[in-house]
Amino acid sequence: MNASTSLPADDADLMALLGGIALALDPPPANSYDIGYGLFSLYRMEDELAALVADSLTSAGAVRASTTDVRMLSFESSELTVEVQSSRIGDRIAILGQVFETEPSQSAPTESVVRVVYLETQDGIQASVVVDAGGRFEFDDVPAGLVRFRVASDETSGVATAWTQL
Amino acid sequence: MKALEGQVITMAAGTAQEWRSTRERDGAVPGQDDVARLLERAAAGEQAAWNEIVDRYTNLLWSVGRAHRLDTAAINDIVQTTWLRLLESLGRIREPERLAGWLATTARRECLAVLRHGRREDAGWSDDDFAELPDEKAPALDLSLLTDERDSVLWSCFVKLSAQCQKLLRVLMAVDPQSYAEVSAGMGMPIGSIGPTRMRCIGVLRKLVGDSGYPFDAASQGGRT
Repeated sequence: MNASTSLPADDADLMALLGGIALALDPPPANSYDIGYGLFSLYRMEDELAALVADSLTSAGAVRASTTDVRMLSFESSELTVEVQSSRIGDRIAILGQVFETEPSQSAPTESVVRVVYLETQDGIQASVVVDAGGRFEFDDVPAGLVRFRVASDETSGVATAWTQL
Repeated sequence: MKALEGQVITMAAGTAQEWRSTRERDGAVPGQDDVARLLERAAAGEQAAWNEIVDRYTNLLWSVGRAHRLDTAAINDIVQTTWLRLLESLGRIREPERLAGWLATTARRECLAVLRHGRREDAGWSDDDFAELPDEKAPALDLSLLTDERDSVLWSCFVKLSAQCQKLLRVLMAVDPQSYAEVSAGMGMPIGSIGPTRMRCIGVLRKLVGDSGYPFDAASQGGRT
């Protein structure tokens, strides 16, 4: 048998051969591994995750929403809900948001809690604001890309939203 | 598109079933236990374990993006977002042995969001894979990078496959056989057609190779299809 003209009889071996060819012809960019390693610095065990539960970009009304470049996002943890409206102008984004308790407690008045929202990108914290009495917050001139919001207060541990591509 | 989303959402039970049957057929799967260990170690904060996960699966994520015919910048974003989703889920992965399927599912969802944002449609999966023409929009790759003529001929045959077959095989060639079922389901394939479609696509590829005129070893062309 001439090795250079053999073709694996087994499908799995044929797929492995094709996989090797694909890796030679069209590999992931060299820096994509380093980027993947670097993302681990964003891992924080202590934060509670507020998962993305609604996104106008991926909902039924997506086509209409994307034409106006306004996107509505809703993040939820057991403790807090964060709602965000992102308005895109060119490659800059304006954010209007509101934080409230997912299940409002009966005993403690929420007005007394001072909450700070941090806007984070992969380069770290970019800005922070104290939310107003109605739980609202605002960021202007946010660069397009991956962002998340961390909400911290004196009384609770941090809650971080899922990372989202804005 | 809506039907496709439904398949993605409802795939979990069927995938697990197909995955189990694959596993039973193939016996114990080497390497799966240490995926669980890697996830545990990464969840505990160990960078080296995370790096190993990135090393193992970056090519799969890249292949999912390529299978959706996205460009390098879009795929880079999708790979990053998929890793961030995994970071958010570390410590809460219930079936670590299905990590490849989870990653493919997550990356595919991000691909669909990109396609939708750009007002492009994903072709989805049709039952009639073989009536379709080859994928004319696939990026042209530089075959001169291949030193072995056999590989050039094989790849030339691969790009003559229907767009659907290329899409499926492009992703499956990036994973071990024990992950075929879960990764196919993660790509939105209807559960019942995963195995048959894969075998038919490989069968067509073998036929194209046979018709190519290149003197492949005759004994190895029949294959298990």
